Amino acid sequence: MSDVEIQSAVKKYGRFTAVDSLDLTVGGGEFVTLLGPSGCGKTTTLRMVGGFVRPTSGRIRISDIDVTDKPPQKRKVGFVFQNYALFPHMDVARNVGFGLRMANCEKSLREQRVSEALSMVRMDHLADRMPSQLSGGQQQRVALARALIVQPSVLLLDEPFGALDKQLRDHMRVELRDLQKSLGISTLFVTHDQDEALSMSDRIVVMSEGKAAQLGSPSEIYESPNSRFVAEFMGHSNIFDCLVEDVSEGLTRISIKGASIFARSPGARKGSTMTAMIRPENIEFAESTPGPDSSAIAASVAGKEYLGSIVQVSLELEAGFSLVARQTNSESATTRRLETGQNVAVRIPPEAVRLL
Amino acid sequence: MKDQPGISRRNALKTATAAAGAMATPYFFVKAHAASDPKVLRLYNFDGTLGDFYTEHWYNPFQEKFDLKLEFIRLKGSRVPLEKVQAQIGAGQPETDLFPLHPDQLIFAKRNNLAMEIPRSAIPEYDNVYDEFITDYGPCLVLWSYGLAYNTEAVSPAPTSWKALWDPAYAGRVALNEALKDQTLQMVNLAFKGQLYPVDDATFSHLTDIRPNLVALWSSGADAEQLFRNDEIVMTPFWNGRVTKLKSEGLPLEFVVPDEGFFVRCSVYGIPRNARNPEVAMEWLNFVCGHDPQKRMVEFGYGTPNKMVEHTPEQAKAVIVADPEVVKKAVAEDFTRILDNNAAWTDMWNKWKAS
Amino acid sequence: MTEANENFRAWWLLSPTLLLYSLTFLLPVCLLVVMSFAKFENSVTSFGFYLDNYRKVFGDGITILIFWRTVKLSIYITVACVLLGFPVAMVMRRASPRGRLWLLFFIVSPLLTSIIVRNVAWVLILGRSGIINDTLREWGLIAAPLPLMYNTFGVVLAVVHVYLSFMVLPIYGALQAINPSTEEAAASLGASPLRVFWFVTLPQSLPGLAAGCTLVFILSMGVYLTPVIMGGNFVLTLPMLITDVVRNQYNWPAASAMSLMLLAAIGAMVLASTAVRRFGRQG
Repeated sequence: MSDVEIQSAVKKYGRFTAVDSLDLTVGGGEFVTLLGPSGCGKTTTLRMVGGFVRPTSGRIRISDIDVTDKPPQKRKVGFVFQNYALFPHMDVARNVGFGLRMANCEKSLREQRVSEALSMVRMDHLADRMPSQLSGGQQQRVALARALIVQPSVLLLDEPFGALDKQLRDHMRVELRDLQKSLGISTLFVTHDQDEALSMSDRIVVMSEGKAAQLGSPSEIYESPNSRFVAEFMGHSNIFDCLVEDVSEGLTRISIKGASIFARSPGARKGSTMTAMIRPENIEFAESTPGPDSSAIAASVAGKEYLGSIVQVSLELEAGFSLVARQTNSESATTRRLETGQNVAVRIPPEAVRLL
Repeated sequence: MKDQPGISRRNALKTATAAAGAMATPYFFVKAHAASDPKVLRLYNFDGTLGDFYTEHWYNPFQEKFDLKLEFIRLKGSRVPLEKVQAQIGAGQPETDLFPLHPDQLIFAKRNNLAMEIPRSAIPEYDNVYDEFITDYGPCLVLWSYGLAYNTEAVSPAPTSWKALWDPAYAGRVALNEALKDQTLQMVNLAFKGQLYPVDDATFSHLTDIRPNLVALWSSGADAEQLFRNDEIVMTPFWNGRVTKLKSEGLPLEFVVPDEGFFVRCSVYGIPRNARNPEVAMEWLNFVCGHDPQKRMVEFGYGTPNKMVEHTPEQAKAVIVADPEVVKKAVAEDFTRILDNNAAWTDMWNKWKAS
Repeated sequence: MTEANENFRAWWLLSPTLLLYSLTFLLPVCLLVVMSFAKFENSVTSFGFYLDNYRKVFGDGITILIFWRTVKLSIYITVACVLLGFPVAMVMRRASPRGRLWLLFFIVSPLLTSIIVRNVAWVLILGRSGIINDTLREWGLIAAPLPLMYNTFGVVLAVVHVYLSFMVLPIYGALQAINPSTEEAAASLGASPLRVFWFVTLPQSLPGLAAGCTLVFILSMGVYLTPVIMGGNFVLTLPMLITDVVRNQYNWPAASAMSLMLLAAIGAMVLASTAVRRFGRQG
């Protein structure tokens, strides 16, 4: 059973196509993220599900009912907006109780459920505050409680952490995910932040120009991007055009600007041009200058960035391209000892190279 | 109120209040303080055709003859804003050197010492003016008659009585004069009581009777003219000059002097106290009392106090007051009573309107 | 200390305005008060402390009546402006920038026309032989012309035409300040469009609505020329009465007392509106 089903949804604004025949099914209490840069159509998609945007073509189904032609108030969705959109003229309790009031819920029952919902988000002590008297995180919680109190079929979240500072954002991520899991409510989440998507989602849809570029679990998306766009968007820095020189059993030889590298990646055809992605954390250092037959490649350190738990080094390869390498900051990490301008030998294991 | 102590305080207050009045109308405030050049004469002028007439025949020829500069302040409606002039005189100087006053305004001006006395000797042309049109404050000019104006195509037979206004045949087609409500009230009395006074409940009960006939109460000649032009009304009490003008434009209008009597009024042209150029103002008064400017006024359609002006038969008919038989029907209004009862009559009038 | 200093500096910025206001408003009002206690007898004004004018205002049986009629007329005008202006403001909010400009121009255009032109135009439309009456008669819908002007209806219509912009602009301003997501949130919580308007849009636009009502009400309380022309002088307002008392009776003292009464009513309206706005902010 699916809670949300998007079937070949298209949204056009004049000549501009915001969403281009998108298919997506969300169900069984899973947490699905629509991830992509701004303008990729992720928010439009979410708003189509919410009923605020009418698709140009295609259907939207919620709980197996076609709601394409239904207005928002007939969809039973819980929507949390980027800026929380609390009613500024109502106190917290009345904000949260609004949905029940619209459902003509009896007053005593309403009060009881409001206080339950508020304690669920640990806001019961601030029930009579006005939204303007609340911090961002508190407003966020009220918005969640308000959306959840009507027991919607699906929870729709539009960049809900955008306005929070980093520490609070990390905290709210965990809190939201825990709450979502405990309620078992299917959730569609929109963000442009990869970390957020990776840490929270059961599945991620990476969107580009209105289309789903890739759909998969966080690890699939991160480790096996199916396109250069997804790879770049997921934050990979070592992406190169390459020529497939030779394909033998299990091992493929490619050339990046004349430098030969081995990759253990299926699906390559000899002579074709492909995109190679080299994972920075898998690059190894040999420290000494490599001999002519070694698999190591000569490079010089062009820069070093200390990021706390990670040390990142940019390398200038003799072949004439640069590479970013990353190591966890431990006592044994080679990168800790490297200096800018120093010559090093790096080894790129075939497992670290992925061909797209 | 006779002689109270603390006159200086009273005067100070008066001056301050007058200043406030002047401040409320910054335009006039500036005007009043313009350089007092003896070669400049400041006058009021009317809107519309009467204003054009003044400019052409009473102002421009004088300006040329005496090589002066005339400055005008345009009036809205037919009455000089005497309340403002009073404030200006209190504050120092009036905005003009001359003002045309309705008879009741003249009494108010006298009581408040707003007008200069003009000796007969100062105006040589007085020799040619009928005595009853000369006052201590200036000559009575522009003799206008107030009778019934009606649409000749819609009203027949021609009305001969004010009571025609009450004729149910003209339901919703009649208007009365709000601007000169004293005249309206006296007219009602004249029609039903045969005398002008008193204005009392009976007067207003007749007004209540006319209510079904009334479309509007007009507050300026231009308003009444519009009502005729837009076919809103077929009959109203009106003054003759405007009817003459509308007739000449081809409107099917006629002016009649009702049998019960009619009203003749004029404007006293006076010189406000503290005027900057009283000598030039007197010169102008002498000029307009003369034959040519008065002859032009007759051609325009209003009567003249100048004995020497002769009328063609058409002119005599148009100005109304040239025919001694007609003049006999003119009623003698009591302007002191009008002035003193203005407030009480207005209250009664407003209560009638509000009822 | 520093705070007091800053406060002082802020007030200093106001000084030109304060000076202007004390000269053009406070001083004349003080003079009005003084004048209102003067006595007008036999065409002559004498200063002192007389209560005659107030006795007249409250006791002559007509001034108070006209005052209440003016209040009533202003309420009619204000209500009509709300009913016509709110939808316009809503449309303006949703319109494209270009459409909004056109609407704005349309709404403000009466202010750019002279009162005479406007009222002549109304006669052509509403008069006995105006467009409406002629058309209706031609179609045989009416036998006699409808009384569309020279009555309260005509006055309200003509005044609303001019003052509508004073209602639309503040409401539009308030609507613009509303986060549209709050309305979407209400909808997704099950509120029908009507309930979204009633529970979310309207309460949030109350400050603008109150401002618009205050402006229109105050302006309507002072309306003078339009009732003279459109009301055929049958619709009496306090400003018309005041004008008459000054212009035809030369009675500054009585007019001053009446003006202060008008001023007091307007002051009360401003206070009431402030209270509503405060209420609106608190919810």
